[in-house]
Amino acid sequence: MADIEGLRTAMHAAVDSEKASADELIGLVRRRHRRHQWHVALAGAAALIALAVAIPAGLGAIGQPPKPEQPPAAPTLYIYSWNPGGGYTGPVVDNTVTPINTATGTPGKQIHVGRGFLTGPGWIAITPDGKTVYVTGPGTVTPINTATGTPGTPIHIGRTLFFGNGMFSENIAITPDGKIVYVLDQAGRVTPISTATNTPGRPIHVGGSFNLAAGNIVITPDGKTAYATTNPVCDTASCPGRVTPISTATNTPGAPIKFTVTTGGATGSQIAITPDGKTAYVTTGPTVTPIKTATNTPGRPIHVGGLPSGSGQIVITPDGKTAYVLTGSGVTPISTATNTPGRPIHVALAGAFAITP
Amino acid sequence: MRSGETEASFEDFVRARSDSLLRTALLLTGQRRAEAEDLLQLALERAYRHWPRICGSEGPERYVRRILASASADRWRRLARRPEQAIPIGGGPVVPDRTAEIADRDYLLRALAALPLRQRAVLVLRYFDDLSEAETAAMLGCSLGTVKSQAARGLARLRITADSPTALPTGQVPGRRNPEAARKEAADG
Repeated sequence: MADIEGLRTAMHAAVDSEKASADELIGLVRRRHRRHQWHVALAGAAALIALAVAIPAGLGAIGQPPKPEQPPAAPTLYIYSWNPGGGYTGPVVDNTVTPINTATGTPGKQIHVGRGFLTGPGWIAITPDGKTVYVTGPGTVTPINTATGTPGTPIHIGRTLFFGNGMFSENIAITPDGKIVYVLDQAGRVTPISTATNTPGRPIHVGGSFNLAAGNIVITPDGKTAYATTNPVCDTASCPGRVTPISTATNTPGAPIKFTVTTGGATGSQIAITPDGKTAYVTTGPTVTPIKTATNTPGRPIHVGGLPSGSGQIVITPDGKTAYVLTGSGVTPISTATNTPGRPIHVALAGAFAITP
Repeated sequence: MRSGETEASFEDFVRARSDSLLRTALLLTGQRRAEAEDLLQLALERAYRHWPRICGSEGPERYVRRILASASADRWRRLARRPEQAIPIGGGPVVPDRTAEIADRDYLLRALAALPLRQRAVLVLRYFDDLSEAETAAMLGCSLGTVKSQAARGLARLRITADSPTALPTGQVPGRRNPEAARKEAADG
């Protein structure tokens, strides 16, 4: 058919001159792969954090205040995973949350929270009253009723263009009063969701560039400010750090806190806040920058040695005295009193960690 | 751990095949370069994850192409449930290359980009990647009959556009029926 030939010719003419930059592509694919590994590690970390949330005394470990409610008799561990059962089943995957009774170690019924293309698990968080688990998916957040184990209607946040920005919701933080869920997505937007109605509010832009934007979001123990990090685009010499404070009363962003660390080579920007709420610690490249929350000013970067591995995860002990940072070679402690690093603890291929209550 | 040999084999593959894969991705995404690049990265990352297994098998390229096709299949299913917002493609040639001045090709490509995603994917796989109907069906996860009917409908839509270039709107919503063409089709039929 002549028109098939015409179409063939037109398609070739349109794209045959297009070139892919192979070296750049290889770098991007590797970076995306590390990101995937990070997601896998996060699934484990999220489970540990979920456990921590279920145990009041453990809350200090993630920088949030003890919850006032009575804890359940046996805390439930929620694990967010994909393709349960193992084996590659194609690019469209099932995302599943599995509750585990920590007293007996027995898993409960799997809760299916949708399917997505190569999306895998995102983040998981539990409201302080323990009644709702929120999990992120592609462009969505799904609430799960923990009493019945049933997922609610996914809450759409922003655009869901298949390969556009905002595809992944990256991280969740819930205010200590449990009223607002903040979702940081890949497009560098923070969407507040009212837990009373499960409706999203207007997104708050915290900046960033495609596919690199999402970092982490945490809320101060007093619940007044959320801090969202933007993953830096590093070159070999430097990394620009960026943290945006958000007033939870008005859902408006404050002036971004910007700083540059002079050693580059890694992306990922995680944040943790001391239990007293006075200092936020932000990982950027192989450094940790303390930020005074009273003035939102960054201090001198603390070099922790070695590139942060995966997430560059940072966790502060419940007593607030030490921050532990995941590096390429293990975990490095930082004294929060002096902001100096201690001797690194070497652990080969560490992926994620948590601190006992 | 990945061996240096595995890494080198992946790099060789990307260097050799990325241009060709990108071209297919471009056509699948209606020549939207950013989307095409992202689609390709996703497919390659998936392949990279399993590289030690697939590099020795029948063909990593087939694996990557399958993911490209699955992705566009997933995309149209998603859009069927939740329509995508309008992205104006008019106002200038969609393809800013040397052939843009050739009016027929330009119209054909704009018409291709304006086709529903499934029809576009079928035409790209059948006539750009030169896959058989059965292979196309397998890649897209649909039946042979669907491939046949979608190819016929897609070509018919292109024909209408070629006959009447003004039928192509400037603000076509991908994945939605072209109202002008639909009216004309109804009038013709």
